[in-house]
Amino acid sequence: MSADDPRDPRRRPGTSPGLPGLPGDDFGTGEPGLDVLLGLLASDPTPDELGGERAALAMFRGSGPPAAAGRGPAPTPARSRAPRRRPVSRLAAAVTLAAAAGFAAAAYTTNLPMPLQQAANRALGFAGVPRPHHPVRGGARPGGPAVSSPAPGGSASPATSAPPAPGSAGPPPAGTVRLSLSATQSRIPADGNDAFTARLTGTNEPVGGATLTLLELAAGQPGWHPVGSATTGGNGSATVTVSGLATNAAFRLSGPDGSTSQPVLVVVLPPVSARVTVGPHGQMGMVTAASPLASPGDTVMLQVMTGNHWMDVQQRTLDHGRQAGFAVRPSGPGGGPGRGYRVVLMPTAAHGLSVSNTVALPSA
Amino acid sequence: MLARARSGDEAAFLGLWRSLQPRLLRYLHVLGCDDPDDVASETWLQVVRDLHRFTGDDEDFRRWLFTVGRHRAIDAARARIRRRVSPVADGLDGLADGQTVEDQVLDGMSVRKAVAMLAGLSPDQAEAVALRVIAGLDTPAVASILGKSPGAVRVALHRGLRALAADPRVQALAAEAGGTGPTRLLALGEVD
Repeated sequence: MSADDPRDPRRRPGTSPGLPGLPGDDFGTGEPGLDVLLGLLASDPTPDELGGERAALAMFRGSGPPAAAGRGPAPTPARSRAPRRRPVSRLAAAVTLAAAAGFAAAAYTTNLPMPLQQAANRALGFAGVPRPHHPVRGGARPGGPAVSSPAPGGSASPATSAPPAPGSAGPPPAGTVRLSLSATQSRIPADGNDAFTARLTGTNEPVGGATLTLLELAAGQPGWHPVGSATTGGNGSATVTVSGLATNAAFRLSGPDGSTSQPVLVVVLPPVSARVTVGPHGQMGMVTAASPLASPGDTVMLQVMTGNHWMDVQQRTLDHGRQAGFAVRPSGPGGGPGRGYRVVLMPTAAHGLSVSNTVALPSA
Repeated sequence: MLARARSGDEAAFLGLWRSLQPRLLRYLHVLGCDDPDDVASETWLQVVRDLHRFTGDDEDFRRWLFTVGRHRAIDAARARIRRRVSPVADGLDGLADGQTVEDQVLDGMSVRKAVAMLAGLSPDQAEAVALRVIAGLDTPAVASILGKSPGAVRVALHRGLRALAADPRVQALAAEAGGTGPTRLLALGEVD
């Protein structure tokens, strides 16, 4: 064991004159600020850092049966530079293919190579966790001169074509119509409504009187399905409202001549609240997080205000009552304002990240 | 755990992954990877593929993992320049708009700030400190990975830690900690 070995009990922090002690398990350098910084660098994982666990396990399972242990020499850094099966070309091809064929749809169907799938999951906020689909209560609302009636129950059928298969999204064929879609809000409170505005043009002229179908691909669901339809007005525009959104979802339009719009992502934000209770003698307290529209097992992170920023403290999973409790201890006596806490509901496949109100735990 | 992972034990592999993946990601962030998750996946892909040939203890494994991670990060940087293509995330911009709420929170998360602060050092200092602190490797191992002498690594560590200690943001941390940094970490640990 060398003197530099962090396991060496003889090595104590700050023992080298003029040199901050090398960081070890105790992070002690004799510099308080530096100690905090190094402690953070080596601190426990944050939830987002462990987000790829299932993909890692799938990779391990897919590596095939283990060969005999100890066979051959140990891999070394030099060996790792040897030619290997690096999926660069496969990845590059997948990037091109995904861009051309509809990245979001491909990501939903988990057909992408793992790194690309992870990137999609990260960007889309979807981890592939199956969740109940939100009740479709959507339909058209007057957004132009000639908007159709709602399509209750998602039973509306496309006007001119069947819903495209996942991965078939893309710009309409050249020389035909062009279909665009935008959402009024890209992030909405859980169980909220969102309005989508469609615009149909052909040869730079708006196309009126065309029936458009709004398709949805919800997190954890296997494919696109129609949730409403509308007819464009004279200005080529139509508006469709979808209500009761309970999970993250992508939306796109299907229109004449097989045209489809690019997908639009809507992230759902379940509310999360925090409340604090103090024990009978003021020695202990409890911060309780509640998120009634989240799911049991979702992760919540307790954060404490330190100085002018929030610091992660501890994470818990919501119980079946969609609650989680964190036992906390008041800061030292003195009657100060006490510590401020809040809770962050971490994003999942089904929803985005939400932040609670701030609560204060009085000093002891 | 390592031996069990080599024999195909999924739980053991997950244990390894959970303990090392966060540190690997932080290290890749310090290296300036455009997509640390992607590079980390590439790293684990190679490690899983070659795990049956690995011989050594836990520390050897950690050194091997970070060595592979470093090479994959270099590969990724070279490939990006060679292919002249946009990173994957760019293609998703049209799908996922600005993550305002998330950004606000994530920006406030101290680990990320600490990693970003470390990444602000000169590359040799940042990597030496990262391998020493984040990866938990000893100086000879860091020197082996970086292809430098242990003395050169010590100098880089010394200068890197000095630079961090002199950073006003780190000094502000000291002020917040009331001059008792480690104590504050322990204080956070008092939360059940």
